[in-house]
Amino acid sequence: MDMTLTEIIACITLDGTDATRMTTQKEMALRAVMVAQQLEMKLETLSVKDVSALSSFKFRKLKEFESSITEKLEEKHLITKKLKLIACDMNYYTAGVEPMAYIANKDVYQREVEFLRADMLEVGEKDLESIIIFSLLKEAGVINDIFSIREQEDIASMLINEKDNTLHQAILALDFHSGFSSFASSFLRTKKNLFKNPYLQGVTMVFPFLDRREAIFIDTIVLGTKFQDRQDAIVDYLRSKGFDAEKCLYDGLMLVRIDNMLYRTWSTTRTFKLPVQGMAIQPYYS
Amino acid sequence: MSRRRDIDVIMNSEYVSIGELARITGSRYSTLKFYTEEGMLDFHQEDENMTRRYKREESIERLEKIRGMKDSGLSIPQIKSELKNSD
Repeated sequence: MDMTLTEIIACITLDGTDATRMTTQKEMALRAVMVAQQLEMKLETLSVKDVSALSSFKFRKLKEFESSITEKLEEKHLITKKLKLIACDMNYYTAGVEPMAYIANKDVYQREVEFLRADMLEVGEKDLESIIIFSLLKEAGVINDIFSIREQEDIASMLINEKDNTLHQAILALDFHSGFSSFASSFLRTKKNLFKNPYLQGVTMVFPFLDRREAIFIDTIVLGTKFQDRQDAIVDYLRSKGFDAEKCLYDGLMLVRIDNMLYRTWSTTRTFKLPVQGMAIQPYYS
Repeated sequence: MSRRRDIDVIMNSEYVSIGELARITGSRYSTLKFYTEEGMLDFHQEDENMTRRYKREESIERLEKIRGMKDSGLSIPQIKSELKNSD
């Protein structure tokens, strides 16, 4: 099935975002989808003038736009509303809080992401659609989920060779943020090294609202268990809650894939009035 | 300006790009790149700065064969040797 540019951007950027509240991450995703919708209408004859003429959007229109776009995607089974991962965190489920998230169809997500990765990382001329998707994902703040830092550097060096392609350059220079997110992104542009290590000093430590993944803690009270037993236990627990969870070997590490995202896990203890044995789950950055 | 091809066009083409191959077989880009670099998947490239092209039918058949051997528990060196013997 061929998907439209708008559908591809919506599936990738909305995946994992909060379905009930307007978060900064979702706002950025929706702005990217709106831009994709405008570009799609002019794709056959797209020019630098069309790209620079993209209109800006009012925040109040976003909620209305979200309903219309997500309804269409749900009808086509491209996304579904599911329990948010943070609902499995001990502090949340004991409080009875059940936030929801948009989750993209796993096969569709993987197919589109792998297609984009191949087109952007291979030598040779890039497709117009790939350049647009890459640029919009970058502006929506989800690029680190798809390309490692090294891969982003490789792509940047390949794109330098396309400096004479003014249309590609105009698309790559797209900026449709507003207010707070604009401040964050302009700050980040001057602090490129922030992206170099997403752990501890990375972008999501400075701007946690830009990450659609969550770090959580699940209590697995089985005394004397090893790392593997606890990892198996949390995979079973997440499956029982309706998540598509599985263990997978990646970069030589045994990670957990939850829906479309990779997480690393480690055994730990949280101390309240009594220590609670369990396992921490944190987004994995390659 | 190069544009993405529709799935119908891809399925009727003699040659496909690595991205298109990933799309029609459901394989990961990193997996296809690894097989290519290990010489397990043949490709054509006019110039080192040009896109690699794969024969669609041959590549799909090859990938199914590799997948079958992987499922039966063979290691990559064993698969490479089996492929070499069958060529």
